Amino acid sequence: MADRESEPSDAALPEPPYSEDLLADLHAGVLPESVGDRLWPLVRSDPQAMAVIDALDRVTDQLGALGRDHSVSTPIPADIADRINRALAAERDTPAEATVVPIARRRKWAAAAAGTFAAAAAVVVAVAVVVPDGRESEPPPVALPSSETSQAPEVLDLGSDLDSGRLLTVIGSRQLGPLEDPDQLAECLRANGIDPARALLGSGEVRLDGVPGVLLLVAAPRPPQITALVVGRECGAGDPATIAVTDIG
Amino acid sequence: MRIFRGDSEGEPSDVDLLAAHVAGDRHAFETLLGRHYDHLWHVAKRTSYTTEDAADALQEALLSAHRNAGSFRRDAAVRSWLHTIVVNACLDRIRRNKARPAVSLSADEDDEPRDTRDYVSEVELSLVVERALAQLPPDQRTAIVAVDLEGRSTSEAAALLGVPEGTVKSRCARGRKKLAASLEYFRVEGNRS
Repeated sequence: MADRESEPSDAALPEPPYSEDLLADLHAGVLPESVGDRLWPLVRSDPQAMAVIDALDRVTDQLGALGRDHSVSTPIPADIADRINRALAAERDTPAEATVVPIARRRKWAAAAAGTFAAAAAVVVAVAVVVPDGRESEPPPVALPSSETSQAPEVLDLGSDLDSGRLLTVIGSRQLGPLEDPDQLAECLRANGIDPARALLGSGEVRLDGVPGVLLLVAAPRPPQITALVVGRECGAGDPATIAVTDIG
Repeated sequence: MRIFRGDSEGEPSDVDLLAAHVAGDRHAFETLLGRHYDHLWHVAKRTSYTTEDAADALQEALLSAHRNAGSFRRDAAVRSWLHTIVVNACLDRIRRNKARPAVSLSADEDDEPRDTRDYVSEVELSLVVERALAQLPPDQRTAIVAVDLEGRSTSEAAALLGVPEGTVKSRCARGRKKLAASLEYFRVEGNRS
């Protein structure tokens, strides 16, 4: 299926009746654009083929409805809930044990240098940010004595290092703050050497080493990797305002 | 052990519980989880290759939520926030375990009855779709969960799962075709293969 992408654009189109596999590929955008563009009009004029396309649409509609249904549930096995509760209790009771593995980080990095961070980022282990311990005090970022501890409620405090686990918590959220303007966001990414067409996987306002900024998670050119970019609030055309950048994965 | 704390003044809201946790209440987070564990477990199972992965990803996600509760933004429901964290942890686990061969959440782990064809209501239809989804090979199921259920673009799903976009599309195509067949949405007879 996927290897149809190598077909030349002037390849002969399949003849009806079209197989369900072919129609499913067409429906999912698997076929090269040059083939899909020519095949769609033929399929639309074929009632049998359209019945299959309609069935596939119905499937995606149902799946979308299922995804929006947050009432679905399956009883969690007691042993798994117990294990998780024990892990949470252990973390709560020993917040100071959180381990920080510092990684080298420089401000004003060129995005092109991001790859060198990948290996280091991969071994960074969890950094506890908020581990309340029964006191009504501002929870300090543990094991980061040199960092600024104040934390606005809407801002994710990254501490002083780029922890991949914590960076990934913004996936799926979109909090761009000063970069809310799509044009400014595109210019900011471009200034950092990142193609604005790359998928923005998540964003959030953050504080890194006490410095306020915006975290942008974008799909890296090589799919297993995600580029995490922290920029200053002034980031825009001609001003990358890079605070830190790393590739995850 | 789950803790349900029903105060005589009434149940605190999810947001109240999260705020209490951030403020240092030792039991607030577990009370909160008590409300959402079953949904989050459901989500973790359908977004993971195996039950073990689901358990590990759920633990990882909830530890992350426990640590980062201060970053919760009130523009989302707490359940949605937790849901997203769990989905991301599951997909990230698949990405990290990419080299490992896929092992299905087998049918015998799902003790629901199979004969569901006579259900008609929307709720029951959801169950039917959910069960059909559970029967898909895990690579197709997780691609469909990412794209069709969680609404991620194919490029986002590709990045999260650590596979090329074409692979995500192809897995979605195969999975949707199987779902259409198992849900009996294909009604036209003909020379289809």
